[in-house]
Amino acid sequence: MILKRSLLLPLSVFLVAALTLLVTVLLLVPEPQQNQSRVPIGGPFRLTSHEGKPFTEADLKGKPFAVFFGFTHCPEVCPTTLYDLTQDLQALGPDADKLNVAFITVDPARDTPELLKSYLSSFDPRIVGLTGTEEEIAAVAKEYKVYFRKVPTDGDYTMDHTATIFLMDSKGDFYGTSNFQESDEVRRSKLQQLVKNG
Amino acid sequence: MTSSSSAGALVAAALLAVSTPALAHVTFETARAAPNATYKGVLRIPHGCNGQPTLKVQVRIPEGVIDARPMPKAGWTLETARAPYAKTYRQHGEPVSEGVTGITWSGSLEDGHYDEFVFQARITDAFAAGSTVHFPVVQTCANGTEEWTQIPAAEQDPHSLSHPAPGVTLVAAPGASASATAGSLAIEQPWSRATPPGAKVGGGYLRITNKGQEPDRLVGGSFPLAGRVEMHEMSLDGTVMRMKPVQGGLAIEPGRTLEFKPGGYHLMFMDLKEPLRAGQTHKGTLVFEKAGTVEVEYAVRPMGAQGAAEHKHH
Ligand SMILES: [Cu+2]
Repeated sequence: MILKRSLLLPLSVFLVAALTLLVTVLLLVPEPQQNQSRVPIGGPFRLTSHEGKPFTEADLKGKPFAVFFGFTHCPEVCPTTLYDLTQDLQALGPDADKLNVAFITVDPARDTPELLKSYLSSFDPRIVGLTGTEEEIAAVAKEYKVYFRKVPTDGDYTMDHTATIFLMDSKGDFYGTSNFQESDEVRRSKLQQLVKNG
Repeated sequence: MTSSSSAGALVAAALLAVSTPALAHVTFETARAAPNATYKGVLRIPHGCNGQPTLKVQVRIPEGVIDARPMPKAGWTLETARAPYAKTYRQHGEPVSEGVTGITWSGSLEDGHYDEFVFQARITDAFAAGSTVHFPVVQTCANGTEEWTQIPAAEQDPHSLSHPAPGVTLVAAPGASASATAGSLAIEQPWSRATPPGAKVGGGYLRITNKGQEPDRLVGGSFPLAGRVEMHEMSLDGTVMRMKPVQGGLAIEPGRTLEFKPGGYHLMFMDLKEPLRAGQTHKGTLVFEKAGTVEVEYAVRPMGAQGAAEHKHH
């Protein structure tokens, strides 16, 4: 039994690794990486973190990073994406520390630093929440080509917004994208690639 | 309630009541509601007063009914009267001691026309199951009024009254009677998702199948930890996630299933009072045009959940 197990484990580790590599190659290769010429997505910004401190693109650069725009009055995509990213950071293990992750609100009127702080307490503590003035949010959304718009409901409003996860390299240049519809496997291999090459 | 009826108008109204007893009364479209739940009242005004157009429709919200919210109406101006309640009630764990006690729509409705006036309110547990809640209504015309304000005494047949106030009878929904109240609607797997602290909204998902012969329409609902429940439609437009309120409810044709699920329709729990936690169950209601108010129990699933049962999407 013990002998069998000691052989099985390395074998299965090898098989999983080989399969992961195959999946990664199959999924990532057909998508051309646009690294050669700089894609005009991303750029400098000036925001406030969920700790209430000033936060700029300089605080993200130095490591590759993932940026996602959303809002807390969001029933589905925003908490689900933050949940997925939390699982991803755990799955990345020590590599997760080589990555920054930011959640930028498109609803600064309601998403104060305090609210972001309590909201993000459900997720990986490495995810930073960012808010700002209406102008600051409009400016960073423009940098990332992110669309957002208020939609009135009964005496209230909700937001339409671009749900892309932007993957940026350590210099703050565009590296690729992911989104909440991708499987965990695809998203994680993209994040692994980003850690390695970004 | 202000009723500016001269002695002459009163006589005229009395004569009218005697001479034309066949005229339809002002009634609610749905005359049944779940106890201690939000009720959507659709008042049906079948005619004017003595051949004249109706210029004003006033509803008095009785004691024990709280959080009344009128629906604005195109071409009509809306006024509400607020006053302290006689008693203090609790809503979402918080004391409520005042609110809307009267609603007035002002506009014009031809005598020969029919119209509906809509409001929503919470009928508190001040009214027991089996009792009837009366909402006195006054129709004001250029010359006089129609006062639908008579409340039957105990044991009195409301049909013996010439101008009964429209009433809603409370029908207990749980257990065996739930399916009776739901009629031919089968409601499956209501679930919600855990929310982060501070989140003001949550999503509700379920499937409703119409096994009957008649179409019905989901028009609203309630959730104990939410200020109100809206129906929303979500869609992915390229990379943009869009969400918009559904106007006028959702029809369920015979033999069809209406599905609320991630990425499509959802019930949106607005103004959450506290976070939803995985493992909890919460009783809410759904309000249908024909089947009335139906109790549903939502199971709260973990934050990563994409369905009522355990399986990961894709
Ligand atoms: Cu919604």
